Amino acid sequence: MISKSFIKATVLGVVVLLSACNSTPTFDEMTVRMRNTDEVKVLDMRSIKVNGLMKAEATILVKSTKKNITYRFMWIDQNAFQVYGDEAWKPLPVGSGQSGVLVGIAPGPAAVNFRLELSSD
Amino acid sequence: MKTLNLSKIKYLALVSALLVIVGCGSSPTVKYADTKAVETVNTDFGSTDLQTIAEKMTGSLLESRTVLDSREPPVVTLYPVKNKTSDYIDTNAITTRIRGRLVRSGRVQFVASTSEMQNQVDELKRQNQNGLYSSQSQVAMGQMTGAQYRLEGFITSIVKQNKDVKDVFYTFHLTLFNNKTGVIVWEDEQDIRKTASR
Repeated sequence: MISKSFIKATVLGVVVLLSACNSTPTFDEMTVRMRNTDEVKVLDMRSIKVNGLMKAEATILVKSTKKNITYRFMWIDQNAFQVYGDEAWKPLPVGSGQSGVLVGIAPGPAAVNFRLELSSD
Repeated sequence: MKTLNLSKIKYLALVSALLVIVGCGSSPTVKYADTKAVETVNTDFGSTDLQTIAEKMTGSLLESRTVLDSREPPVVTLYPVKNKTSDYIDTNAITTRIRGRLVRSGRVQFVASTSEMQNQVDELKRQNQNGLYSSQSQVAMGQMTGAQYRLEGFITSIVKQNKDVKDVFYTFHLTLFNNKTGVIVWEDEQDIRKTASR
């Protein structure tokens, strides 16, 4: 059994390496999947600074909702450190076979990057 | 026959007594849980609802023109959120969480709310009326900042159920009023639907 924290640490490590290489991460690289969340496909991701606060959006397609899938955004500062702690997990607001947009706004101005975290039961 | 019945009764009494002793002696298993995890114990208003509402409402308010167009963070006061559901919900916990997130964003300032005002007045009186404090350090009366805006809201619920399914639909509604003009400058609502089935 691989723990959530191990997966998270690994992904953060990958993020740091990618930042060092100065390459733009793909949607898959910006999505942290904990447990099996294959039912959710990330179609698009974008971000913008609104009044100094990062706003992130992810368009997703939910193939099935047999499992309870949850999501949250992780905020990252310019040094690739996670800031503002962990957000609460939220149930996906999108039904089976539907697409929708997940929206998150960083709690403060230090966030310059983000990751979408997905988890399931 | 009689002897057999008596022995059965004795046996049952002994088993019952043992069960009672074991039942009283065993303690529930306690463990710490993830405070951020989705909580689905029942359809009552829960921690996930509280956290979701606070995040969504904060994000929406931070994107409003009132906040975006202000050169200085707007000064807001908080009014109690009315609970129009049939359940007990600590609405103060919701609004305090929203206020905390807004204050931490640095984009909105809050002054003492109506429920906190008495403590503010008491402190001002304490510093100014008992002669214990030096004039250099005491806080002068009449220097409080008036709120430009006030945040009000309510929470409602629609409950439908039959013998197998219970469906609860919560709506949390928040409104920002301009105190000077009475104009509603921002308004948003967050819906949450929870279903429990056997």
